[in-house]
Amino acid sequence: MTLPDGQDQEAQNEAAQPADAPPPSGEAAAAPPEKPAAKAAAPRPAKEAEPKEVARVAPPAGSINELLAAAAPGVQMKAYMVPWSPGESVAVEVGRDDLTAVMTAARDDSRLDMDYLRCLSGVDWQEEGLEVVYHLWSFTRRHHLTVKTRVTYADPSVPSIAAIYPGAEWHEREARDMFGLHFEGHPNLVPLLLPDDMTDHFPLRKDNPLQEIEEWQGVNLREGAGEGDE
Amino acid sequence: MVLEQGHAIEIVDMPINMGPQHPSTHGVFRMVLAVNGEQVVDVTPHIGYMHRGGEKLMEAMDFRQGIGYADRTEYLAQFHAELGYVMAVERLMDLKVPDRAEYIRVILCELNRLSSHFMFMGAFGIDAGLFGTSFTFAFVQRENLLDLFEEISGDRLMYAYFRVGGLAWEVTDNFVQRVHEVLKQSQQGIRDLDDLMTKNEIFMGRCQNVGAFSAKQAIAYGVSGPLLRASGVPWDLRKDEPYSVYDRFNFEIPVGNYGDVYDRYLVRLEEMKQSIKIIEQALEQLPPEGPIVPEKMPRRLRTPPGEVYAKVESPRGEWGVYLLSKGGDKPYRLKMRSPSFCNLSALREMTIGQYLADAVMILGSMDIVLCCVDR
Amino acid sequence: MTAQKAAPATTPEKQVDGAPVVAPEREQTGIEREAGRLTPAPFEPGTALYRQILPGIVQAPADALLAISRKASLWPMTFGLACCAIEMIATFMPKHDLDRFGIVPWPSPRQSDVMIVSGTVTKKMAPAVKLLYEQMPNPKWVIAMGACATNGGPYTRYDRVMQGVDKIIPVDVYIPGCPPRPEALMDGLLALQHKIMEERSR
Repeated sequence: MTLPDGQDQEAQNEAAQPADAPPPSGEAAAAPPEKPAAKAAAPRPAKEAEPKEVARVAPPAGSINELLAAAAPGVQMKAYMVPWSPGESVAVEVGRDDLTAVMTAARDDSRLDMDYLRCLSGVDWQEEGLEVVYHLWSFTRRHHLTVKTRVTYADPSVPSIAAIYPGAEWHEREARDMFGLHFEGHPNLVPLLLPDDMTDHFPLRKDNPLQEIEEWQGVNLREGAGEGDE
Repeated sequence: MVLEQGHAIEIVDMPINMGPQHPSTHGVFRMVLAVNGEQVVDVTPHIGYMHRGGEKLMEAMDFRQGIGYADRTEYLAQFHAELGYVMAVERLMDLKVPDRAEYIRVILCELNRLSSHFMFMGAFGIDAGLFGTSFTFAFVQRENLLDLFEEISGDRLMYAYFRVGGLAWEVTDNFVQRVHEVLKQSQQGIRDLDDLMTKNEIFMGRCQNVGAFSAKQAIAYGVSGPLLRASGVPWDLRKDEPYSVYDRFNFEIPVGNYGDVYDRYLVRLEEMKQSIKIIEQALEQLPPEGPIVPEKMPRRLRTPPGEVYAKVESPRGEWGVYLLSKGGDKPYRLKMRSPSFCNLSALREMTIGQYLADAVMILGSMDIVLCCVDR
Repeated sequence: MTAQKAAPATTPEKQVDGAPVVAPEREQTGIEREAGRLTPAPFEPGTALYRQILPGIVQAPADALLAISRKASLWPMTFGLACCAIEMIATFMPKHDLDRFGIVPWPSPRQSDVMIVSGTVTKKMAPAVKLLYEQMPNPKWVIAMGACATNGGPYTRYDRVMQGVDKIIPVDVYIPGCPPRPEALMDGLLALQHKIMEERSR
């Protein structure tokens, strides 16, 4: 079952049954205080982006996004807080075409000094397209930055940052394998993890669900299997 | 090139295939080396032979089922993998883990670091030529540790003992005494391996000045863990971005000078000794009684929508979990930032220009776990 | 090898389909003469000479002797794929010693008897597994260790994982577990020894 259906069913179950005493108190205590709107919006099945929009808090003044804006002038960026990561990390969303400028500025600007690419992951947002998330870190300045960029299914092409951060080379190959993202300017964009003859459909996209067990194991449960001598 | 009889000879660099199955087995990893005489001219690593879709499967599992998959991804540092995963969920749900559970988690993680580094010592000794001796010493120590883990969690290798919010169940009554016993045996084991390898002339000859990697290169390639520390960058997540209760302990970070294979071995050896120090301090500070899950533990594990990047210092480097949730009891996207993957991407840079025999040593010193590389 | 590279290519009329061609004007090297002499002997199982001499009298003790010598000295190929490999290695180590059964791990497929497939076989790895199986000389056996080698295990729902190694090679013993304890692997190897003894008259 693909995820939207799964979410729908869960949400409908939640809405249908009366919530018993421990979960709401537990969840209310567990949810961060500034997101009651997000909690109320969570059971709604459609428009999953809305809870995220509501939950976005702009970073306080003096945060790293201002340094980035100063280092890469003329770049449109939307900044918000990601409060669950320690150090109150700031996330910045930029357009695909500005990505190279932003990354070069992040690495070379002396106030930012982001020399370490921690992680590069792709995310499949279904209707809203594909997203690439970069986590950057600076050893000298000790600050995080998360950079995100979003592309559409029709044109899943992102400029490669392998020239800026050599460690991104393998991460980008993996993102290409898993999501079908095309990284322009990548020195060697060949399949990394997938077998050479199975690189056409991308496993981590949401429209490739996992197979049900019965469908695969049905091959073994044929008539007379396991009874013979061999 | 033309011989006297007029026959033409074509000279090509011979590609040597260290195929998916080879005796210096660190798992199913394939390297195609182009050599010129004895010197390596080019390396093409081929991975993906163990790509089992751990990330995709974890998207279909809820937050308790996913712990088993985290175990199987990093099968030598299981507690660290579990810790990364449950820490990510706890951060999203804003759960405070009780102190006793935190201390037990730290003790088990450090014991797991010991067992993983023992495995490294054993396998690395085999790569260097000590066929069997180091492996036997290392596994005797590992068996002691695995016996202890089996007493606590029920399984020798795939523990699934950490839960979101704390631990699955209380530890055994003689936990502290057992850990002291195991520490004493491990200290003897470290001494044995130290005597066997560190000042061994052949071992030093094979390891020194091999695969030197500068700090700048290491940072650019995203390398972490003992490889980064051996290259001279004093970076350890337990000290510099402390998580759990690591900020209450007093320990040192071994840092190397040259970034060669010998330094990496020494860094790991010293880390084992520091781990023992941490465990002893944790045992003293361990609250004798207390809850192991928070009081307001929600009955159903549901996270609010959000994203988090939680990282732990596993024996191989920085194990990160990027968890993106849209509400509900399953992750929407779970990316495991595996240290072996990032370390292995630097293999080509490290091996070009070295001798063929050294390529095996360099690969061994990176201490990769193929399931972690391929997920 | 360099000599063969130096041989000029023959014209298309002289080439036989698929067979390597040696230029006729050059004399055959020693190894080529040997290779020409050695033809694989046709072999029908069960028709060995000792079975035809006094059938029943020589055959039974001879079969028993062969089976005992094969089972008492099984050399597994070290084919550790994933997590089960760690338990396999632990079984070879002094605590759960397998050497006392005559089981010595051997890296090369050419001199090993049994292949312990320990770990998940993915579709990318499958041709290599098949090749290694073909490289082992007869008699050979296969043990599928762990849930992944048996039927895909915890990763069975992913479509790039082969649901069990018995899809490509014939398996003699299946050992369940994730990972199976060293004692379970020992039990599986002893079961294989029992099987070898049981099948000695075939």
